[in-house]
Amino acid sequence: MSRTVTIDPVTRIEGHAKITIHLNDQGGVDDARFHVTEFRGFEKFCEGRSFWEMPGITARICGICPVSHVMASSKAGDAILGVRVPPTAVKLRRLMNLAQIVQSHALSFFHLSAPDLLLGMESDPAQRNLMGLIQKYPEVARKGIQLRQFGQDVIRMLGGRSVHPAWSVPGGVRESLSPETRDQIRTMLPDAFTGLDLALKLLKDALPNLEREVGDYGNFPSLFVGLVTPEGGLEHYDGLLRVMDSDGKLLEAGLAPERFREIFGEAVEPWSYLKFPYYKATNGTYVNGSYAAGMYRVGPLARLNICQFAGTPRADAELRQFRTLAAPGKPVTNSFHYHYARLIEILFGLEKISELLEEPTITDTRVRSSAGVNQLTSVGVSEAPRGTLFHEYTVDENGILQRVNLVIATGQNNLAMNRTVRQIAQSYVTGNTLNEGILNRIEHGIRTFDPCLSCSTHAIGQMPLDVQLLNAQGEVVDAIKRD
Amino acid sequence: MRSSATEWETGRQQDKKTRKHLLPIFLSPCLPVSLSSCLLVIAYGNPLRQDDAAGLLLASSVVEIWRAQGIAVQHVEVQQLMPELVTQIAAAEVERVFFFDAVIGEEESSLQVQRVDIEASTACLGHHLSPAMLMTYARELYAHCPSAWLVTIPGINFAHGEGVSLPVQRLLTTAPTLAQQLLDLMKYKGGAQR
Repeated sequence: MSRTVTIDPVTRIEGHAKITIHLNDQGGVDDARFHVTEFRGFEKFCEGRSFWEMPGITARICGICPVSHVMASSKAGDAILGVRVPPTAVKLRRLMNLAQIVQSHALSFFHLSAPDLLLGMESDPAQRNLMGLIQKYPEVARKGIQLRQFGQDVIRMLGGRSVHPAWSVPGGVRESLSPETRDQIRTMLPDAFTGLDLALKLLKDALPNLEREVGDYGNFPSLFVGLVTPEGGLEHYDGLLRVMDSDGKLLEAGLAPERFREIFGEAVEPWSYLKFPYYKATNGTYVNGSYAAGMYRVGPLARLNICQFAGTPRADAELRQFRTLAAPGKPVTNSFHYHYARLIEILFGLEKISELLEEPTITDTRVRSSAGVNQLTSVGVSEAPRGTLFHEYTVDENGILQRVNLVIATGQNNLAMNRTVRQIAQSYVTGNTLNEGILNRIEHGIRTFDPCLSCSTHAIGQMPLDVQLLNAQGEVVDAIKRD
Repeated sequence: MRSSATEWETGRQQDKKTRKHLLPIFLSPCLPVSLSSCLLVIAYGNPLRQDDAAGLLLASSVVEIWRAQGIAVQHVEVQQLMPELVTQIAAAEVERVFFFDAVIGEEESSLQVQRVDIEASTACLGHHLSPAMLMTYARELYAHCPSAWLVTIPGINFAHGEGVSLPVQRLLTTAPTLAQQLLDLMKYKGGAQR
C-alpha cells in the first residue's frame, strides 16, 4: 500500500508550509511536494491606492525583508514618474539594500541554519534550535545577533527605523546621509567583518562532514536567473537580467528587467497557493512541453553563478573558491551551497558598504527628483536576499493603481524547492523507516533556499498545520501535528 | 570533527577570565545616553492586517500616558519579534519589559496580562520568536534578564486592510486603566525623566 508522509509545518523558515511525500508500494519515494497553504492578498488590497503609497504598503508584506519591497516599489514609481534618480540617491538606496542583504543572510545562517550545521542534522530536536546553539556556542549566537544588528542599524540610520523605513520613495529618497552618520557606520564595520569571518570559518569547517548533504540537498541541473551589472558583475540593485543554464551557457546575457514577461511565465497548481514561475521557450511556450522544464533558481547561488566577478577584493577571492565547487566553466548546482553563497554575499555587502561610504558624494543633499505621472505601466526590479523581486504596476492618469502584480523571489524557487524535497526524500526515506532526523533533513533542504513565505503569500503569521499520511488513493491513514 | 565554534568559545572563556567580556556592542543609538532605569515597551503586529495593529495602538496609548507622568520609556514597534531585540532588552538601564500583541479572540474577549515565563521557554521552537524566547536569550547571552510581561488584546478581523474593529476600539479606550494597572503590577514608582 502506498503511503504519503507529511511534514507540517516546516520549521525555521519564514512563513509556513507543508510537505507531502508519496511512497509507492515498495516503500520508495515516488514524489514529494512543497505546499504553501497561505493566501496572497496584497495585490488586490493595493488596487485603488496611489502608487506613492506602495513602498510603505508593500514593505508591510514582510517583517524580515521589507527593504526589498521598498526598493522594487520605489523603482516602479521612478518609472511611472519617468525621472532619473539623483546619483547620490542611487548610492544610498544601494547602501540600504546591501545592509538588508547582510541582516537577512545573517539571520538565515546563524538562526535558521546554524543549529543543523553546528549541532548536527539528526541531533536531539529539543536542542537543535537557536536555544541549543546559544547554550553550546553562546559567542557564536552573539556574533550572529551582532551581524544582523549591523544591517538593521544601517537601515535605521538611513531610513529612521529598521523595519519599514519610510525613506525610499518614487524619485529618490527622503533624507540624505549626514557626515556624522556616515562616520558612525564606518566604526561599526570592523565588528561586522569579524562576525562574518567567524561564519565563513564555521561553515568551511563543517562542510567536510556534510558531503552527503551537499550531494543530496537539491543537487540537480537548472537554469539560474538574476541581475548583473552591464559588465557582468555581481549586482543587487539595478542592472540587467541574465539567464544561465546548468552548462554555463547564457540564454539571456543581459535583458532589460522590465521585459521580464517576455521570458518568464507563471503556472499554478491546485495544491499550493504559491505560483510556479518558469522560463519560457523561445516561442513563448513551455520548454520541452512542460513548464517544469523551465525551472530556474534565484538568490545567492544563482547570483554568484551568473556573475563573472563580484567586484570587491575579498568577495572575489571567495568567489574563486566557490567556483571550485563545480567543474571549470560550469555553475554550482548543489543547493546546499546556498549557505556559502549567502556568506559571500554578506562579505560583498560589507565591502561594498565600506566603498560607498568613501565616495565623496555620498553625503550630497540632492537626493530626490520630482515629476508627475508620465507612464501608466511600470516594472521595478531589485535583488532581495532570496532572489529577484519584480513589482509590476498599472496606474491611471492620476497615479491610482489599477493592477498590481508582485513576482516574489521565493516563488521563483518554487519548482526547485519541490525538486529538492523529492531528491532528499528519495535519498533518505527507505521502506517504512521514518524518524525526526529525516524530516529535519527535508526541512533543511527547504531552508537552504531561505524561503520567505510571508513575502510570497503575504501571510499574517503562524498557522498550525497538520501532518497527513496519504495512501495511493489519497486517503489519510495517519496524521501528525507540530506545534 | 574540529570545531571552530568550540575554539571560538574557548577563546571567549579566556577573555572572560581577563574581564574582557563586554556587553552587547550594538546598543541602539535610540537608547538613552543616561543609565537611569527605564521601561521597555515592545509592540508588534502588522498595521495592514486590521486588528493585527491592536497591540501597536494599545502600546502607543500606554506609552503616551506613562511619559506624561514623567516615566522613562523606550518604545519599539516591529512587525514581528526579531533576535536583535535581545540587545535592547539586555541593556543595563532596562528595568521592566512589556510586550504588546494582538491575538485572535471574540467580541467579548478582554485584555490579558501575563508574566513572561522564562523557564518554560526552553522547548524547541520554530523560526517564530516569542517573548519568552527573547527573555531567555537575554539571560543566556548577556546575563541580564529584567522582569517581563505580555499584554494581549483580542481581535476578530485580521484580513488585509486598515483600521481596527469595534471591539478593539472599545478595548483601546481602557488604556488609561491598563497603564495604571501595569504600574501597580510591578510596583513601579517611576524613573528619571527623559
